[in-house]
Amino acid sequence: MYRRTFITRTTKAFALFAGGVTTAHSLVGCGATGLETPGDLPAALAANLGHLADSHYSDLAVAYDTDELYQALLAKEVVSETGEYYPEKVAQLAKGDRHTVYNGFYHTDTELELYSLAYLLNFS
Amino acid sequence: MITELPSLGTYDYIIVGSGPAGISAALRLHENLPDATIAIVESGVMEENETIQDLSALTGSADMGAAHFAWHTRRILGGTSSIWGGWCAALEERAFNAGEWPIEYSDIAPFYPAAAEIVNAPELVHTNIQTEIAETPDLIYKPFYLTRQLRIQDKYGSWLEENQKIEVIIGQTCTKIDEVDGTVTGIVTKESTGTAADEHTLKASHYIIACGGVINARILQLSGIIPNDSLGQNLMEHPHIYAATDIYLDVAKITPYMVEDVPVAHALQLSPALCEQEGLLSFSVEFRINDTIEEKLLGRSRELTLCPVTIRSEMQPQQSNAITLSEQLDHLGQPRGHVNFQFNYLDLANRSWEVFCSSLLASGLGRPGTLPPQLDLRGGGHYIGTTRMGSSPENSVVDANCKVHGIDNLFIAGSSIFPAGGAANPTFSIVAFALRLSDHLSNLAA
Repeated sequence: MYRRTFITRTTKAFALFAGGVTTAHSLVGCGATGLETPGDLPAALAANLGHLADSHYSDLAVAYDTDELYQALLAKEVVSETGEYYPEKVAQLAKGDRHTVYNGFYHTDTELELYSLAYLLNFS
Repeated sequence: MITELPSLGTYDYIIVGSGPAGISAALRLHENLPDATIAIVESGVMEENETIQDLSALTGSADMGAAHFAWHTRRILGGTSSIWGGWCAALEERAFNAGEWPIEYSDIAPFYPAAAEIVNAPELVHTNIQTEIAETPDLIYKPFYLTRQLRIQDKYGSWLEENQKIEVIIGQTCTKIDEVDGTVTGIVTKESTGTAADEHTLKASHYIIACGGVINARILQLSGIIPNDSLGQNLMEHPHIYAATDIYLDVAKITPYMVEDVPVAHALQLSPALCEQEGLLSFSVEFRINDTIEEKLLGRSRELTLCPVTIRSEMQPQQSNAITLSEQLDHLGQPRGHVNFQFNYLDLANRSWEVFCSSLLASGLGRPGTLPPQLDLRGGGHYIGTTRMGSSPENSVVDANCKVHGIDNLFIAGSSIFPAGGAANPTFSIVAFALRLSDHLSNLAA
């Protein structure tokens, strides 16, 4: 992968006018906000996010709880209870979203949550 | 004609300097007033001469070294056009709208078409200056047109040789401007290598100093023509950061805006509205389209190109960045120029980059990388602001017509008159302002 050949730059936090750029470990809060039935994610979601699953985000993804990520993205209406996902919502949220440096490049927090969930559903 | 000694003592117009500013002024004056006699006094000769070029050497210190200034102040027929890289872009309207100039953008825009012809730039340079990007109000596409570089000797040498109304006097350095009670009465020249002790006094009705951002200020200082403390101050450059970092760009989204008919360097720039909102200056990010790869961007798989970017931007004027007179003398016995220059641009660069990153990502145009903690700032050889244009004779050197405050027949051409540098390579605008100045002088003669 191209990005493996680049030196990973610092993930030092920057402050932006629209919010904060943070390190990649403050995206989704900890705590039990999970589903009533743990592991009860829509079956179609993994397939629909399959093309976004990328081991490039593994370091980030493994630090999070799958259910919590799902709930966070559900609350943002990026995913649905029936397993669809809505990239247009990611784009819509981008302007107000916090921006985070991950492996030397800026991402929106919602992006990182989505890619982390995709990885966890497809590779873990 | 091109000569080593003046044939007349008195001319209608004397222009000191044969670079893009001086030659453009002469061309336009001759076009408007074909019977007027014009002397162009050039310190250099037809080819590079080390002894003469040494007259441009400065003392002092600068972030890019004092020698950088000497290198970009060429003493040869054609001036710094002899090393010009050919990049052309119009000045941004933003600075004019922000009141940083005492004139409107509409005062200079009409001269861009004729300037484009002189510098061999395509018509697009003034008809396609920048493009708004749909659904992306924070960024604009800005092409920098790459021209067949103007080499004045090649393009105008024969014409100058044959023209009997324009006398190009080479190898003569203007050492002083004589002024009495607010009127210039003549200039004094010496043979540039210093081997001949003779001095010549040339007289004209009107004088244009067109020697570049360093020497324009120095000549006035050497002559004791100092309207106020701003003379020589506010020296600006264009900070360049080559291969600053990498960005991913969505090829499908950006290519519809890219100029393809003529050679250009492509850039994205912070929009004027965003600059105003954030209190930023012009900031351009040059990119090029490489091979594409499939990558994720805002939740979708896209064909993205990964490319290094070069930042070219505008810096704030700072009084401490200045040209003064040195204690060291050159071989003509005159004080050299002394430079003090620091970019002091790190904070503004980082802030501008953060805003750019936020805009690029939020727009879905691409994904930017981070800047390194230490920035390798370079200059473009663009010396701006040392004889700045302004309404007030208290804090500027020339007025809206490029006339030196307090002197009724002395004018300045070149980027030394720019109160704001923009992020555009200045030669194209230097020529446009020279044409405007010549029209003004022609109207005075009418």
